Amino acid sequence: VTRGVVDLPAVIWAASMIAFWLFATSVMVEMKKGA
Amino acid sequence: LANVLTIFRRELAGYFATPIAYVFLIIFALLTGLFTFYVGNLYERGVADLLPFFNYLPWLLLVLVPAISMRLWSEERRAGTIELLMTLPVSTGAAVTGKWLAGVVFVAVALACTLPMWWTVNYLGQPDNGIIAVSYLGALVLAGVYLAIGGCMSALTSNQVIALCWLLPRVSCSSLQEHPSCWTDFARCCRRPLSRPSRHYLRSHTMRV
Repeated sequence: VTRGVVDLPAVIWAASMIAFWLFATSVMVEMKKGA
Repeated sequence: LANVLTIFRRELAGYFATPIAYVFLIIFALLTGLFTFYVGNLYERGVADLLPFFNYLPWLLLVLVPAISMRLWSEERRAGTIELLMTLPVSTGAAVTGKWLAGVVFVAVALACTLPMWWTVNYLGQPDNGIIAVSYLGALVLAGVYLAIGGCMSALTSNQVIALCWLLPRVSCSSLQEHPSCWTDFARCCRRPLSRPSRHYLRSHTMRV
């Protein structure tokens, strides 16, 4: 039985994608709130 | 953090307040079983692993995740509760994070419905449980990326269908243009320009020590 390996660059990339899109959502909601 | 948890609990309770969530979870479990056992030929392969399941999972997530994420903000706007939410002493960032977390937990529940398949392959043989565990983790991260994109698309419009139309091309990116067989041909997958979430997902569930 092998141990699963966490692909660190993939995790970093996914985390940055999530952070980016959550930030974009915040901006979008703020813009809609102001409108 | 307390605000994030408050929004998270409210949103998660919202998911399970209607029977639609349960119906959806059942449909997801049935579809994964169908794709794994019949389309993926789990028994005929004669190998005790969940490769057929993880091969088709990104495609199922393409259906599941938009259905979850398209209502995140557009439903609030349609129901008129967005004003109430915005007047609460909760920052926009906390609201966005809480809603996203609730979506991730909902996907985790949907993935948990497929755990009997893991038990099945353990009953049939001696699968590599480490790789299966990391594959589940990779699937959850992939769903997290899709949910984050979907949440943003949902914030763009008050119409859920339009949000879905905005979302689908973005989450599928180039992966839908690829032939499905590329999911099983790992060497080719590394060379071909799949969409980044899908490619990284594949790498996470095929790497081993």
